[in-house]
Amino acid sequence: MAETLVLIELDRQQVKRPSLHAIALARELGGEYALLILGSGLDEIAASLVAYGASAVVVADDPALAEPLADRYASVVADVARQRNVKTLLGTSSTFSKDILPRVAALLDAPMVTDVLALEKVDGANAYRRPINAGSMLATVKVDGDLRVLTARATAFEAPTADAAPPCPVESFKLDGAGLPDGMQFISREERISDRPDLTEARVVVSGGRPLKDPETFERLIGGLADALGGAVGATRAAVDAGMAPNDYQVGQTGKVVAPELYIAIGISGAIQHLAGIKDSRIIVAINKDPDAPIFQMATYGLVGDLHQIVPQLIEAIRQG
Amino acid sequence: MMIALDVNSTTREVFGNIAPWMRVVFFVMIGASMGVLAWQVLAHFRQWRKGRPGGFEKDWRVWLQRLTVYALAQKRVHKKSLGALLHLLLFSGFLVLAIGTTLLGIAYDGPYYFHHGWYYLIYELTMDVFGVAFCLGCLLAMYRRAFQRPKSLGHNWRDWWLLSTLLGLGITGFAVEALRLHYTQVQPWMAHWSTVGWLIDTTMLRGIDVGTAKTMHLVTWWVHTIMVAGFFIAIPVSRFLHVITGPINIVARPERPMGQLVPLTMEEVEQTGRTGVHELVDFNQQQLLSLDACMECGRCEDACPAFASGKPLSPKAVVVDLRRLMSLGGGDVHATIRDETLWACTMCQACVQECPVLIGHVDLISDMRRDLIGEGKLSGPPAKALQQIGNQQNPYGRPNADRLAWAEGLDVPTVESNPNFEYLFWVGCAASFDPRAQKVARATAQLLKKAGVNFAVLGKEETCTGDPARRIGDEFLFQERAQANVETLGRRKVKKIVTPCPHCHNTLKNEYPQFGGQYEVQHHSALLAELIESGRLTNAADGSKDPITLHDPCYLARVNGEVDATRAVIGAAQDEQFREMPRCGKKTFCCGAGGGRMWFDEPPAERVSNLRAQEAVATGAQTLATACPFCLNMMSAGVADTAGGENVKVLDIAELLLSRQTSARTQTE
Repeated sequence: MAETLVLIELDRQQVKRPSLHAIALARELGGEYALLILGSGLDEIAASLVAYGASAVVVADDPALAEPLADRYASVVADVARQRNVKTLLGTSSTFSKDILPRVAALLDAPMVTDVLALEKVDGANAYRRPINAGSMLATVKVDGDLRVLTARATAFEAPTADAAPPCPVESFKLDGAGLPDGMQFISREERISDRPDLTEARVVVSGGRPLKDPETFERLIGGLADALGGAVGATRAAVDAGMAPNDYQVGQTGKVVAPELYIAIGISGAIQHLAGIKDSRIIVAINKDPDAPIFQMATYGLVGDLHQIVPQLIEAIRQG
Repeated sequence: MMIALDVNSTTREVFGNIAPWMRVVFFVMIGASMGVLAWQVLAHFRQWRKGRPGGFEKDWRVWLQRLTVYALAQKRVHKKSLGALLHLLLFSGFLVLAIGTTLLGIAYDGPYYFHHGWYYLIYELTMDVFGVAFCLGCLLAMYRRAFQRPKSLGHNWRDWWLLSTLLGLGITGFAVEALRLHYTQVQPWMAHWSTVGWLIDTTMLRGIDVGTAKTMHLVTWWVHTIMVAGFFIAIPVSRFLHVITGPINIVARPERPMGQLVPLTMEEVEQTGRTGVHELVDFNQQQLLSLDACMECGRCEDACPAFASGKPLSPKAVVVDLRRLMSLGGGDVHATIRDETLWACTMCQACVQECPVLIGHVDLISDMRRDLIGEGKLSGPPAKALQQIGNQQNPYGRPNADRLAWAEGLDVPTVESNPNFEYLFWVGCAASFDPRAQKVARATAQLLKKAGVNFAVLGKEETCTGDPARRIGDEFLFQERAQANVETLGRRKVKKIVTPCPHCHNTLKNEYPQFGGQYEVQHHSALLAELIESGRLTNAADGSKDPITLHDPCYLARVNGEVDATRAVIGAAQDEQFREMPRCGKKTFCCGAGGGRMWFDEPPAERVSNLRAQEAVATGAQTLATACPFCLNMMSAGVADTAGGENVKVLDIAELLLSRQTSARTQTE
């Protein structure tokens, strides 16, 4: 039986739950499947994966794999795939797999299909449905060759249940950590540790634009109001360009699309590119000193005035209220 | 002074110093080199033939007109630059010398001997004058390459080789003339007509005896001859090929409005299995020919906003890269030209306007974009805009039921409330849904009402014209919109259309006829200017005014030639405070939103809008007027990003005009 290998993603010694969804596709493909984890000090994690109905949990455990460096990870994944004579190598669509799997596909000289939404049969052979044109169309594609690399969209597949009995064996993959590629060096990890909710999921979003002037004012006023309301922070392209807010705060046509219950736009004139990202918000409150600002035509409530005076008062009032 | 000419003796020898066997060698050598040239040109011709058949202009009157304007009068080459001057010298020199040499060939051994008398004297003088022009052109070209080194021109050793050959031809030509005058001991009065040769003779050849001169003449003559043969062989492998391919393309390029793209038919797609150009041979024959017409002058690159803003596109590089692909036998165009390069184009047509040999860069890019769309290679916001044009009939993804939200409280007549309208006011998606541009729609409607124009709007029956879809490369999405809109406009018996959007204007006017929609389409600037002219609106400003400048939208000014109406609406002629930008009128510079770029993300350093905003702010204007909702959007963002531009107001001409109506009314009340 053709064997499938599912690459499971770890983040700081924890399994990333969405990466388990690929198991559902592995089951649909039929035949045996093994799970693969890479990292350092993985005994506990390996033990947590034995009940997913796999034929084995393959563990590549080495201090050299402590950080997900694409060149060495790809080399190890390709070696495992070769050694086990795998027919399908599977991952979940994510930054991690985008980084690693194309390299693996190249090392194995295998075709790759990304963002698989569903498995289909065309002329008796496996075919994969995937979005193209920014999701406006769906393509069903077949690939040539015996070996292929796939990534599955986590949202298109159910989370698998861990109820298989008996548990599968854990197999250790022997590797020479010193012999791995070392074209990449791990330097540091920077994370934005934030207690604020995710921008696209928050019920309240407070966004700021160009008049906030500098990162400190932006954080004090926009961040302050967001915290007072338990909301997320957003920004316009101009604010991001000016370095007041990080890139991933950008809301709009080329940033994130949000649809909170309450969107507060502060110092935002309302260019159509920004409005494209907020049009589905339930209530839009605009604060701007220019009464002719286009944002007021979109806003449910508008407040004309100087944000530097209004916002601190607003924060104060909410904190006291 | 009258000279009694002896018709038979007022002439010169042609091959006097050349032994008969040498003449044979000469004719064989020249014949062989011309044969190589013809064979090489034929090889190019075969490559063009590999393209899709046709694409050529068929009307001979257009051929003649174009040959006169673009080949002979060189309309596109002329401008105030050293490059243009030296080209004029080289072109006229080369043309006259080539004709003169051919005439000499005919006179030498043909049935008509006319190389004597007054004809001969004028011939000699003319050849000398244009020979000097030719040499001067070569020297200036060398100077330009050595010292000015314009980047867009491109430089390699072949250019020096070619220029040296040309200059060598000129110099040895004059040397041959001087030596001939010397050893044939021509009478001075006759020698004067061969001015340059005579000058060389009297200054440098004095004291040389006839025998030595004869030998020197023979040697120089051979050097000259070998250079001529070498030059013929060099033509097909150098920039000089354009003297042959340039005029052919000038004639062959099909005549159609600048703003019109060629429709794709379902039959073609079924036949070829392709939408657009994937392999080089998917271009048509005229397009392949046009690649060989390029002499790499770089005018297109100098005009290109994408190139100026640091994007990976140069129209010249597109042509040169495709030509290289053709010389290698063809293949996948995307292996040569990256997707990002194709997406970088704003379709402003500045390159097309500049090209002296009428290459259609935008058509080349559009054809390749169509293939990218067919292959599903577009993602992100622009793909979403296309999806929304498909689903909601507007690129912003707003419900079409909200089409009249802009008109709230204005009591704007619709095709239902006023079925006997004269003008259909086509609002366009931007002015319907973009809150900033909605003010332009409001201002235009108010002006039309004030002037008593009998108009109506389509309301929720209006949909996107499909312009962004067509420019991005989704031809069938465009056609879907075009057919639906033509049906609506027909059903509502529309004859005249006025619109504040230059892109809607261009598509309705130039592209809907391809789908059976014929209307009299006016941009709002044109109608508003008429209303001012007839006294139904006033553009008189009230007293003190700030400096003002105008940004010409590409699709209004360059593509559709309208530059007067916009200026008339804002009263530019009577306004001492009106300031033109360096790039204005038909030579305007793009705002960056065209070609679907409105929906692409750009890092700040690569924004065309910022370049243009800097140009506008540098005029010192406090008001930046424009006449396009996309320009309005881009320039608003641009001036806000520009130092000194924070307080510059960006307004549509209709908004400016409306403000003058109210102030005028306040004055009279």
